[in-house]
Amino acid sequence: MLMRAWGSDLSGRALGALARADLEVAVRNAGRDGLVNVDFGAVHSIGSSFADECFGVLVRQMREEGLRTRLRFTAANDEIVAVLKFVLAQPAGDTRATAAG
Amino acid sequence: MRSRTPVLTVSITVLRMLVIEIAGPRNSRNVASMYAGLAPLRDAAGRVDLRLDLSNLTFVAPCAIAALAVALHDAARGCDVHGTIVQPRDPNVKRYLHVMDFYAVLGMEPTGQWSRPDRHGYMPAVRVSRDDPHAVPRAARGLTDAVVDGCELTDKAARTLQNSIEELIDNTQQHSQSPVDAVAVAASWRTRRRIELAVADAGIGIPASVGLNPLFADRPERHRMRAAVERWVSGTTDPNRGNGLWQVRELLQRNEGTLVLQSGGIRLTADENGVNLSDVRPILGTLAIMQFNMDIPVGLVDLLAAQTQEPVDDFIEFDTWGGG
Repeated sequence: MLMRAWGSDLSGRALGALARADLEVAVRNAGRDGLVNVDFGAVHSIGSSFADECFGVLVRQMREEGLRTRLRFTAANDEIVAVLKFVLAQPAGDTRATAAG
Repeated sequence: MRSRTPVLTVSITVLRMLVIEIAGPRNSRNVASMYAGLAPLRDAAGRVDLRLDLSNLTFVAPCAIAALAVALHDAARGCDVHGTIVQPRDPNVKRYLHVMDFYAVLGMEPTGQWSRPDRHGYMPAVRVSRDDPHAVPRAARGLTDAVVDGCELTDKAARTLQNSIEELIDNTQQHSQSPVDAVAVAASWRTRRRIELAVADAGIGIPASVGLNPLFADRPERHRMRAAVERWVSGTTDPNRGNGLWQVRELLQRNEGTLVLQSGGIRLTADENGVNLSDVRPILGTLAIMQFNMDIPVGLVDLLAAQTQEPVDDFIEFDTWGGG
């Protein structure tokens, strides 16, 4: 999956949702245990909202299928890596927000 | 004899300062008090001739441009506005409004001749479409590039700025339910090493948005406003949402910057001294203001790395580092 198809600066949940649809196709095409290659060549930056909407949401949806271990990110700069790690390190299903305080 | 459709004429004169309380003296003529002048537009259905007289204007705050533009677009939703602006007599203010794309973002034509001056060191005002998925990155990159061009920012500072702009704009697109496009405006002061960004929308406001989350539905508005800048708090039931405002607040607080969020009559101010709430004169929708220190020691990567406790390298494969 070539992320540059969505632009050199990837941000916003609306754009992330569109990219996620592409990612779902790539995951399907990779088969049940296949690696999914996500290429960040020519991408300058990624926002955490975009990353969560594109990768985080799908990883949580496909937790049972172990998608998180099947993603292979290439050509990502240091900042993109930091954002991806931040988003993908979030375990699914926690109810963190409380109204106390 | 054919009957003529009556034309409503609305005339608004801005005295001296175009500000909101955040950016000007408390007793100044401000955007909040101009909402009353826009009221006739809200009930109008046909053609409205709107005359905005700025001839006496001597000072304009960037955040006031965003707030006024959104208020004007919202008030004019149901009518056909033909607007003219009487330009400021002060040549510096006149030039500044052109540089900031003030007329374009209002969708009104100034009277008289004018030419576009260089905008070195300033950024234009931009409308952020509610429906265009590319609007967020386009606006954030455009505003950031303009600042970087004028202010000699480090890459780290520029990326942190761009990311914060993205999050604020994305918030309006995702949560505000604004019936009109949001407006983002930014300006820089090179000698003070400060950047100010303002994003205004005409939406339901932060407390109402957070109240859509059942966890916060029965909480007072001030509580919801305060909670909005904490991590994992959003107006959705998704427990993984709610990083955007938290991230912006953290970055600004750690870098001697200031975040101001105002929805209705509640204002939240976050700076290195903490987070404070105050009651103020109400405005339409939400106005978010970010005052940024250009010499930014804490970047986005630093902040996120400190929060990423799980050793993700164990299960995620990153093939090429330093590319992109």
